[in-house]
Amino acid sequence: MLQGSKVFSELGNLILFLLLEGISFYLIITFNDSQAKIYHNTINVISGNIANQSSNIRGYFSLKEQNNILLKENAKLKSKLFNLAEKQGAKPEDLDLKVTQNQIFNLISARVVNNSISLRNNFLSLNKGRKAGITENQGVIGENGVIGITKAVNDNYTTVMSIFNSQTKISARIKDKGYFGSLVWNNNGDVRYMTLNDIPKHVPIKLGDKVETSGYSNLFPSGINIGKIVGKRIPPGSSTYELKVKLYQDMTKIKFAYVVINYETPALDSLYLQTKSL
Amino acid sequence: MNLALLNNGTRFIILLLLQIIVFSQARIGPLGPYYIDIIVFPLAYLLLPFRTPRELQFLLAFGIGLIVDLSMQSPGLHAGASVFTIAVRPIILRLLEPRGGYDKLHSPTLQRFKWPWFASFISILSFVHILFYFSMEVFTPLFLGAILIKTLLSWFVSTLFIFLIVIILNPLD
Repeated sequence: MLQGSKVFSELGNLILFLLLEGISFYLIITFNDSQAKIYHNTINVISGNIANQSSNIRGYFSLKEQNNILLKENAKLKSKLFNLAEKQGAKPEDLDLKVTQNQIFNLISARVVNNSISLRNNFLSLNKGRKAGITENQGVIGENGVIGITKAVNDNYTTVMSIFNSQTKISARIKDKGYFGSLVWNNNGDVRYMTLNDIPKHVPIKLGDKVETSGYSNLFPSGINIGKIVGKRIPPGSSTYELKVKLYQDMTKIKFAYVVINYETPALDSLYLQTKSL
Repeated sequence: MNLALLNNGTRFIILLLLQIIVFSQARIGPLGPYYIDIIVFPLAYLLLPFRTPRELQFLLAFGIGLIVDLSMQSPGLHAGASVFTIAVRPIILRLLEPRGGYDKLHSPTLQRFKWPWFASFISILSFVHILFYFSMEVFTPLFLGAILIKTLLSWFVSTLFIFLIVIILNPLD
């Protein structure tokens, strides 16, 4: 075949061909909106699958440890439940752990298959999705605190906006004092601390005070422990505290998470819409 | 040699101008979402002489595709399609090879070949280019039907215009 004189070998031509197609492909998925969306969506599904597989395999190595953690948590919950029942004089059927008609919250457990903590806006992936009843904008909690808010859901996976994300804001209060503010992460790369803002400066705050969820956002039940205050300061000219909160939850090694389903959300949302239209 | 350079250079410039100033401006859409893009610039790289080094063919196809892309705000689509089509060209040439083989110094022009050969050469490769282009434009096999309908419509109209250009300008080697 006399197709062109040869400067490089056939292999060189192949490499040039692949290089040019690679550049084209890169341009397509970088500068064209709809193609970029399709590409990222596809990659998301594929990487979700891969992450799930590898997490499956890695899961075997820590089964014992995880089992212990879950057992402990289970025991803690059960004892809490029984204590509470004792205090309030509950009937025996209230101790049944089945989902009942009039319960407000339900938790769905899921495995964390992907987690980032080193970026400015961090996300996690869970191995359950719409099929398990998860939708957008639901709270996600871990064993020792809050993890984030669900952001995107497909049939089998959920992307969670981590608490270490500049867009996440969590309504939190000082335990036993009731003053509430909003808990944010100030992007400083340190994942042990978060900042609690908007607490008025006349409130007596002691270092060591505990911080818990306020329950005002209907994403999280109230009273979930988040951390304790390890530093306080009032920025010049401000009328509110800037409190440094040390988290109980170590986000660098979470393996399980619970998605909080609030059965009252639709009712509350419609009420909110009504008030807005007034 | 210099004549070939001059001819091909002129061809690249004229087809680029035609594509950008005339044909890219008219996106015909009589069938709702199945609009027709008239794509004539592949003629420029399809008519490169047989002796052109393979690397140069790739780079020229990529370059002209990229320039059209930039003017149509579709970076990468035509560039990718052009590189793919020029990669397929030798295969099609082999399929259409006349009994005596090709003369290395010639180009696949109407000056050297008869209409049946030239028409099949152009229409097959412009189909490859347009199919690749719309595949990348739609970018998901889910809409295979849309890809095929757009490709067939645009291919038919584009090929007609390419033949028209060839008849009017009568490109030489």
